[in-house]
Amino acid sequence: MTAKAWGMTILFALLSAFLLAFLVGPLIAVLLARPHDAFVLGMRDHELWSAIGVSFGCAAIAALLGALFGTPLAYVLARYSFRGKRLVRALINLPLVVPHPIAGIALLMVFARHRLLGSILDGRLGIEIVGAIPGVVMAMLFVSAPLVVRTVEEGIHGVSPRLEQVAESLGVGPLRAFIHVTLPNIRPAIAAGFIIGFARGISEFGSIAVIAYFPRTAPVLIWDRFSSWGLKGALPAAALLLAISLIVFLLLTVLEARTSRHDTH
Amino acid sequence: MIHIEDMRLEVPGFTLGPINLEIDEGQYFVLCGPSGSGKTSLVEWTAGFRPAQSGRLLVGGTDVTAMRPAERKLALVFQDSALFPHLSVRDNIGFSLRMAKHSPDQIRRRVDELTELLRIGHRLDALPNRISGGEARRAALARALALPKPVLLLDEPLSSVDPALHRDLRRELAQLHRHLGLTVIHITHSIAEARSLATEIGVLVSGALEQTGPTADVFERPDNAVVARALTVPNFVEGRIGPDGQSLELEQGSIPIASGRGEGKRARLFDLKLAETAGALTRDAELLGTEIDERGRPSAWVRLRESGIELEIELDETLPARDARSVHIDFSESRAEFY
Repeated sequence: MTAKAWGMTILFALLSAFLLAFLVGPLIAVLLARPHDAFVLGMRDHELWSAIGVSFGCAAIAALLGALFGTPLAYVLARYSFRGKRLVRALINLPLVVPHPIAGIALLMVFARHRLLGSILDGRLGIEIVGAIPGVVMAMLFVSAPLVVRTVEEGIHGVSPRLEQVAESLGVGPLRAFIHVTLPNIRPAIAAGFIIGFARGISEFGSIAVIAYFPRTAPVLIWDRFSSWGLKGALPAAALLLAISLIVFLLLTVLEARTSRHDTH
Repeated sequence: MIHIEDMRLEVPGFTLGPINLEIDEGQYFVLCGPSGSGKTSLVEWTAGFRPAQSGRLLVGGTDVTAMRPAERKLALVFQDSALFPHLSVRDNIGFSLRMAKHSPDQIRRRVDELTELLRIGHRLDALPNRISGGEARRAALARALALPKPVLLLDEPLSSVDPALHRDLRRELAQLHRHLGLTVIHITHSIAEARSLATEIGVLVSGALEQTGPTADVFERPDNAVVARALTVPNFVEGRIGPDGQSLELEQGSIPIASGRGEGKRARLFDLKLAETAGALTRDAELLGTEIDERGRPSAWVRLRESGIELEIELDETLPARDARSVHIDFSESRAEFY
């Protein structure tokens, strides 16, 4: 390498290292926080466990819904060209730029008891949204769906439309071609989308705090503890949630890598 | 067997057609054209994946223009094989049978039959990314033919394979055509494929079907300069035999000919040579280059100074000097075949 190339390598390595340290350092600080028995305290905390249950359960449902509704949308975006496609894409990405409390307020405007959909769901069908599990799921779906759609769309771009055409020439209609050919080949992308959506759902706080403060999700509980008891009170819960989240994502990622490796070999 | 009537497809900046084409049962029809000539659009329309502004397609007498791809009785093979990556070779080949709810026994028998015919029986359990390019192409053919269809539509089936495999697959396609009594439509930019496989060819250039006919006829007697160029037919000229019978009058100037045969406004010139010195029966030309064809025969490529037409001169061992710019073309033995 020339002296110039070395200079650039060192500069870029340094800048990258700073960012990585900034991202990972605080998380490590939480995991290593004193007292070291923060985990143990967290483990004995039944309220915390139930909040983690709400978080993971709702995030899983939200990610599943995201994949269920997001896959057809991703397919339309990947395969069809139509007027207003850019607008549709912009609309899908909107939740990513809207500050989260506003997302919560926006959902309230539609799903609150006396509002448009709220009056139907809550009033007629007796499905409580605000301050209930469905509200948590909706908030998570709202913020995670764009990421799911984006991930699945990338996967669909990786599957040649020729494959669907071949399937059609072999005697199936477009829907069966999608089910028998496209879907099996985008399974890794859907799995990746699910994981990203799931992660995004668990990390959501702002919109959930507005639409469904109760039943408390883990981030809401931690916020609750922090605002009442400060750093020391919030730390055990924060450390435990962080550790569990890391383990779960590690497992899911390994699982996904395995299935996609299995698929391509 | 295949009848295309007034097919016309327009996209911004490109018009394909109007195409009128008749392919008889049992023919091996090669549609030949350079890239960008509209071949793939024509395949996609024929297969039912692309609408056109106008046109009718009849397969075996049935109008299939409005039918879905599957109902058109066309077996289809794309250039990249397009095997389903998640299915084994066996399941790829049996796909159409499985979708048509044939019994597992029937499927196994038909798959065995096809894989024996195409010699890929040893790769049945492999996934497509584990087999070679030649095997993938054979598997794609077997898959297309699993449900018997009278017409096989091949879109650049031999593109980007090495020369030895190219020859093998060419021979297998010819065998398959004979063996199964199929009508084949084979789309390619390769003149070698057209020459070696086709019973009839069509030449598509810039969206226009310039000429169709029996392969030898088209290669021997291209309709115009566009076809001659597309098929790399050398020494095609447009002109008339002069009043003295000893010259060919071109658009600009004339060239001497020793003998002429036939009648018409187009001709192919044969037996042209390089001359060492200028004479009454030579013409001056600019030497554009020399080359050696696939069979190892050297030739010079020249442009006549007077008329501007380009000719290809077969050479014996005497290559023109490396730094030569000007050469004399000897027409003393030249032969023109008019048509």
